Amino acid sequence: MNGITLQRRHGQVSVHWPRLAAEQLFVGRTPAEAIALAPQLFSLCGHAQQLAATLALAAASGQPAAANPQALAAVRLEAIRETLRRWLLDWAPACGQPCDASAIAVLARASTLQDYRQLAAYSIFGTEPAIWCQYGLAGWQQWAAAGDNAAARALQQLLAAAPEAPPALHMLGNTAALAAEPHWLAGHYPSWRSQPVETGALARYQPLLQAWLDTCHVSAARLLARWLALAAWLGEAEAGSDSCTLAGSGLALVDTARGPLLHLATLGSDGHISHYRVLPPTLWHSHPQGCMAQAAANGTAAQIQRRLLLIDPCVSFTLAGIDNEEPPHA
Amino acid sequence: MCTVCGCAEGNVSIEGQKPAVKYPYRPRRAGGHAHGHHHHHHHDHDHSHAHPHQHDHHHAPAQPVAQASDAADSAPVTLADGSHHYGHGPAHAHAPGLSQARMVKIEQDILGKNNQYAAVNRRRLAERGIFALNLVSSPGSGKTTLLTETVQRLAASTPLAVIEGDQQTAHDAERIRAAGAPAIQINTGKGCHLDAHMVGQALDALALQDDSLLLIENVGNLVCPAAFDLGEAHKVAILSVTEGEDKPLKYPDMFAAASLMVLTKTDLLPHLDFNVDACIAYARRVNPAIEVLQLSARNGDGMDAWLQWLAYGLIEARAQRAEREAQLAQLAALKAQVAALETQLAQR
Repeated sequence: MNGITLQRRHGQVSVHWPRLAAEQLFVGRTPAEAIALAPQLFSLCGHAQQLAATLALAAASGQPAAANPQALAAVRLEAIRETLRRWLLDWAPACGQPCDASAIAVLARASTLQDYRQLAAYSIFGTEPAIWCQYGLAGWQQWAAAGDNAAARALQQLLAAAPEAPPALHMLGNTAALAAEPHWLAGHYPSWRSQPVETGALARYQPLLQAWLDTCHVSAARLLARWLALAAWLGEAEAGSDSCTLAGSGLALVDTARGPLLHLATLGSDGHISHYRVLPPTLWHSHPQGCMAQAAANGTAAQIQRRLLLIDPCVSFTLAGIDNEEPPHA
Repeated sequence: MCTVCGCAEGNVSIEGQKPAVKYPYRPRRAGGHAHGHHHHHHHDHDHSHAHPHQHDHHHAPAQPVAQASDAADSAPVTLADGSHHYGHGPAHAHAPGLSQARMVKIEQDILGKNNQYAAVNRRRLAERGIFALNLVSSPGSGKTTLLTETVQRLAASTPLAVIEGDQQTAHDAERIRAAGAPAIQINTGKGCHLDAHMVGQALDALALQDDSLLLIENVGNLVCPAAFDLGEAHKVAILSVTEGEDKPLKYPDMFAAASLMVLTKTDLLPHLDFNVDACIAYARRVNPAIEVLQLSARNGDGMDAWLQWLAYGLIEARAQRAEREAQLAQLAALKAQVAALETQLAQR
C-alpha cells in the first residue's frame, strides 16, 4: 500500500515511502487534459492540486497566470475542512479527548465559510476565531491551562508532554525564492540547503511560537500552528498561490492544510507535457533525516504516533520495531 | 390535548395586527354541540296513528341534558391503588359532556388543519434555511431568561428572531427586543398554546433573514403544545431544577415530542434535592433519543453547549437548504432537457 513505514532499529530510524507518482500519468497529455485529471488523481486536496497544475502549466507555456478567485476560495475551504477533520478525527483522540460525534456529523454537512466558522468556534476556539487569534502566546497558554473545552485540554496535554527536539524549519515563501536556489529539487526528497526541513504551518508561524520551540514543546507548537492557520483562513486570509518559470519549466506553489504544495511542469515542443513533478509537503517531511524520522527517534509507540499525527502526513503511516516501552536511555 | 379544556376559543392577538384573528378550524367551543340543547329524534312506526311520522321533538332543559351527557361521559379506569385514570379511552382524555368518539373527531379536525399549516410553515422555513425551534415548558422554567441570554450572546454573530407566546401582555417580547433581537408577541387569550396558523401569521410579520435562527417561545404549558406542530425543526423541552425531576414521566407527551431537554437554573442545584440523573433517566424512558443539556443562564455554566447545539442546527438547516436548491436546479436542468428533446421530436 501507498503508505509510509517508519522503522526503528538500534535507535536508528528509517522512513520508507514508496510514493506512487501518479502525476506521471500527465506525461504525454495536453495541459487541459492534465488539469482535468488532477482532482481525480489526487482525492486529497483535489482543488489545490488542480490549481497548482493550472498555474504550473500556464507558467510552463510562458504565460504565467494568476489564480482565479473561485479556485482560491475552493482551495481555502478545502484546507479549512481538512484541518477540522484532522482535529476531530485524529488530534483530539490522540490528545486524550473524547471523540466529538456531533461535531463530526456537522462537519459532514458543513460547506460554507460561515458553517466552518461556527463549527470551529465551538469545537476548537471557544469563541470567534478572530478573537482567539488575539490571545498571543501567553494567552493561549492560559487558555490551555484553564481547559474550558476539549481543544484547550488537548493543547494542555501536549504542553505537559515529554520534551522534543525542535525540527529545522523553513517557510517556502514564494516560487521566485525557490527558483533562485533550485538545489532543493536535486534528490528524491527535497531539502533546503542540504538540510531536511519542515515546511508546514509550524514553519509559517515559527516567529510567533519560538518560545515554545525553545522549551521543546514541539507537538504543542505544531497543533497551535495548525489552529493559527485555520483561524487565518476562517478570517480574511486567502490561500496563498504563486507561480514562476524555472529553467523553461513552470513552478507553482499552492497552500494546503499540511503546507505548501509544489508542482513543476515542463512542456515539449508539441505543447504536450514532457516532465511533471508533484512535491507535496509530506515529501519534505518524510526525508530520511526529516521531522518524521526525528519524531520517531525516541519515546513509546503512543508518543510517536501522536507526534506523527500532528506532523500530519497526507498518507497513512505504520510504525515497526517500536513497542510501547520507553527504551532505556544510553 | 385541547379538546379537554376548550382553550381553542378566540381572543388571539398578534402584535401589530388587528385583534381577534379568526381561526377557521376552531370550533366555537371545544364541546362542539354539547351545549345543553339536545334534539332527540324518535321515529315511531310501530303503532297505528293518524299521523304516522310523528317526531317527538323536545328541547331538553338543563337538567335532563346532564343525563344525556352522562351517557357520553366515559368512566375512568380505576387502577389497583384506587386512583382514577381517564386516559385509557381512544381519546386518551376526558371532558364532561363529550363522548370519546366526539373528542377524537374534534382532535382530528383541529390537528389535521394545524398540521397543514405547520407543513406550510416548515416548507417556508426550509426554503430559506431558517432553523426554527419550539421552546416548551411549564410557566416559570426560565424560558425567557434563557432566550434573552441567548440573544445577547448570539445577536452580534447570528441573525435571529423570536416569536413570544403568552396568554396576555407583551412583556416577554419587550425583554427580547431589549436584549437585541427582533421579536413579535402572540397573545393567545384563553388559548394555552401556539398553533401553526398563528406562527404562520407571525412569520409574515417578522422580516426574517435567510439562514437565521427563529426561536419560538410557546405558552408555558407542558400539555397542549406537545400536540401542536408549528413547523419547527425541533421541540426543545425546558425544565428547571426547581421543578419535580419526575415531570418527564408526568407529562410524557411533551418529552416524547422533544428532541432536546434543557435543564435550567442549575446554579440552584446545591440548594435543592433535585436528582439530575433520575430526571435524565425518566426523560430517556419516555424518549430514548432525547438529548440533554444542563445550564444556568444566570451564571453562564453550560451556555456554550447550548449555543453549540444551536450553531450545529443552523449549519444543518443551511445544508438542507443547499441540498434542496441543488435538487431544484437538477430538476430544472432535466426539465429543460426534456423540453429540448420534445422540441426536437416535434420538428421531425
